[in-house]
Amino acid sequence: MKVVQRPGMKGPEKIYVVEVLKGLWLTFSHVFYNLFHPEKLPTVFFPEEKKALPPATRGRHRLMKREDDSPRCTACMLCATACPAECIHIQAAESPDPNIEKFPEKFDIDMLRCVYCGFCVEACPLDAIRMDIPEVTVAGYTRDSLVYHKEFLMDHDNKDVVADYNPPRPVLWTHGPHAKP
Amino acid sequence: MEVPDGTNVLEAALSNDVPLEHFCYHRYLPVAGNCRTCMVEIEGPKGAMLTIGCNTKVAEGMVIHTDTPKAKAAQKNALEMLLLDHPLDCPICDKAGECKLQNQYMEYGLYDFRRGVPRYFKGGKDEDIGEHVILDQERCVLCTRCIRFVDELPKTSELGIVNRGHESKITIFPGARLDNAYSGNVTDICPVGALTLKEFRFKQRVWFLKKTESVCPGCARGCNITVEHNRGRVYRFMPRESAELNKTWICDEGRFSFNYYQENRVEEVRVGSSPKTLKEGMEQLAGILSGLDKEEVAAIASPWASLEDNFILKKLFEKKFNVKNLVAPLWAKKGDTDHLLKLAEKYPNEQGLNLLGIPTDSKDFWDKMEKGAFKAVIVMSQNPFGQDEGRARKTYGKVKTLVVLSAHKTKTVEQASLVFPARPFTEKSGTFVNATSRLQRFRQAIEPENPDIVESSLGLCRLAKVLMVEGFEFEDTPSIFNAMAKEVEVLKGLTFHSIPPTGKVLDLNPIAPEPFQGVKAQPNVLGKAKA
Repeated sequence: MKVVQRPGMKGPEKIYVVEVLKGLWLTFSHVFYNLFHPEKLPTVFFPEEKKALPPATRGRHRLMKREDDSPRCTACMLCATACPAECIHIQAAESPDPNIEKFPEKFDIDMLRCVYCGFCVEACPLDAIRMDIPEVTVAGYTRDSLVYHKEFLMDHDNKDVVADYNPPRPVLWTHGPHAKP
Repeated sequence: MEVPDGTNVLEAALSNDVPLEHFCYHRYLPVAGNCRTCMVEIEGPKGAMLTIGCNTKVAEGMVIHTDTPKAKAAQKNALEMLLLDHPLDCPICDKAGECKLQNQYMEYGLYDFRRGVPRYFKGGKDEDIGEHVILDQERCVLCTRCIRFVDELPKTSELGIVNRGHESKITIFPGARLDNAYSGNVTDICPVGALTLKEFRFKQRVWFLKKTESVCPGCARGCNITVEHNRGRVYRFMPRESAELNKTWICDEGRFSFNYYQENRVEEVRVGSSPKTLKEGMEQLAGILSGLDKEEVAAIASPWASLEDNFILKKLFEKKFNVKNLVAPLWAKKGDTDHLLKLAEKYPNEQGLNLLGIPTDSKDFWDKMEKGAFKAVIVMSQNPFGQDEGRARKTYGKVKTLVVLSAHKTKTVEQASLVFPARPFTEKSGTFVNATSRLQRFRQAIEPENPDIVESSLGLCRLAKVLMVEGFEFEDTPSIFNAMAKEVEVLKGLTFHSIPPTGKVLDLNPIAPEPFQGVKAQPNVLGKAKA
C-alpha cells in the first residue's frame, strides 16, 4: 500500500493569522462587490424567480390530446405495466367514438410514488404521455392533492406548461381507419 | 418415443415437450387442419414430405422432423399468412398477453413485414353477437374453433363462415344469437381477440391477473376453474383443464357468477344492531351458549360450505352440544340441467354432507324450532327460506338467539341477533365433494381487508377456544383437512396438499351422471404419452 504524506505547512503558513486574513479578504471582497453591484448576483430568488430549465428536461407528466381534445391515450396500460413504482392507475372504458373503442375513464398518477424514471413515456405506443412540463417542484398540502387526475394532466393551459417546450412529434396510427397501408 | 395408438403427431409432440406451433387445433375439439401452422416433415418412401401434424396419426416406426429448415419455413410462412391482414391493435385488444398469434409470432415468426398492397378491411370492430360475446371481424383468423365448439358441444350451431377467399368471415346465422348456455367458452378458445367477453371487456389487462386454482361452486358438478384476480378484486373465472371432468369448458352461469361473490357482502361483526369486533362478538356468543342446556342449542350446516366448515361445526356439536340438533336443509330451487355440465342441484358440497353424515332431512328440525325447543341456533352459510321473509320471521321468531355466519346479506342475516361475516370460496381454501364423488380442492385467491372476516371453520375454532372445548387448535384450513382425513374413513391417507389438482374420486355413491353424456369421446385425446 502506498502511503501518501501530507504536504505539511511551510514558512508564513505556520502562523495561521496570515492565512485567516487572506480568507477573510476573499469573503469581504465578495460581500462589498455584491453590495454595490446587486445586478450581477448569481443567486436566483426561488420560488419567486425560476430559472429556465434545459430543453428536454424530464419534468412532470402531461397527457397529450387528439385534435378534438379527447385524450390520445387508449388505456392500453403499457405505462402502468412498465412503471416500476406502480404509480399509474388507469380505468378503461368504452369510448363514445367507435373508431377509438377504448379510452381511459380515469387516469391517475400518484406523484408521491413516481420516481421520474420516464419508462411510461418510453412504453407508450401512441406518444400519449410525455414528461415535458418543466416543473420539478411537485409539492402539496395533502396526499390527495398529489394524485394527479386525467383532467389536470390534460390541462395544457396550466401555468406550469410552457408552450412548445418540446417540438411536437408525429403520431403513428397503428390501427383503425387512420392506419396507413 | 412411444404414444398410445391413434394419437396424432401434434399431440404426441406436445405431450412429450417437443415444441410445435399450432393454432386451430384444440385438444377437445375435432381436428379441422385449416391453419397449416403445425407443419412437420415425415419421412416416407419418396423422402421427407411436409404435412400437418394435427391430422396425421402416429404409426409404428414413423420418423418425424419438427425443426428442419423446410418444416420451419413452412410453419413461418403459414403464420405470416395468418398475420397478413391482422389489425395489430394489441394495445386495445383484451386478448393481448394470452393471444396465440402474439406468442407464436414471438416464438416462430419474427419476420419482416412484407405486405406491399393496402390492407383489406373486413369491417365490424364490435359486432354484438350474443348476450355475453362481442365479435371483432378484423382480428379473426378463421380458425373455426368457435364453430366447431358450438357444433359439437352445445350443438346449437349459431356460427358459420360466409363469403369466400379473403372476404370470408365468421358470423351468426340470420336471426340467431350466440345465446347458448356455454357461449363464454368460445372466447376462451378463440386464439386471437376476435371473440371477447362483454363482462371482461376493457376491465383489466391479462398480465396483471393472478391465477388461483379453484372449483366452481355454482352447482353440484364442481367444474375446475381458475380465479383470476388483481388487487383484491376478482375479474373473471376461467375454466381449468381437467380431462376427467369439465375438459376445458364451463357454463356461462358459473363463469359470470364472479361478481356475486364480491357484492352484497356482510362487512362486520354485528350484535343486535351495533357493530362489534370479532373478539367481543365471540365472547358475547360464548357467554350466551354456555348459559344454555346442550339440548337448547341447534345448528344448520350447509351444502355451500366447504368440507372443513361442516366438519368443524359437526365436531363442535359432538363435543359440546347434541349432534342430533345439526341439520343441513337442501332448499334451493332446481336449476337447468343438460347433457354437458350443468346440474339441477345447486349444491357444491352435498356429497360432503353425506360423507360427514350430516342429515339433510330437515322436517323434524323445523317442527322443533317452531315449537320453540331451541334457544340458540347457529346458521352457517345458509338462507333456508330464500326470499320468503314471512316464513323466516315466523320460524326464527321462536329462537331467542339466532347466530348467522354468512358472507352475503340475506333474509336470515336480517333476522339474526348475532352476525359474523364469513368468506366466500374466493377468499378461503377448502374442499368440496362434487356430485360424481370427486374430492376437489380450492385455494384462497384474495385476502379480505377486514381481519374480522374469517373463514367459518376458523371462526368456529375460535368460538370453541372461548368455550374451553379441547381439540380445536387449528391455525389454517389444510390442518383441519388433515385432521378430518384421520377421522373420516373415506378420506384416509389423504392430505390437503396431496389432493391432485383435478381432484380425487372418493368411494361414495355418485348422485349425478358423468358429464358430457352423448358427446362422443374426442379421438385426439388419448391421455399423456410415454416417452
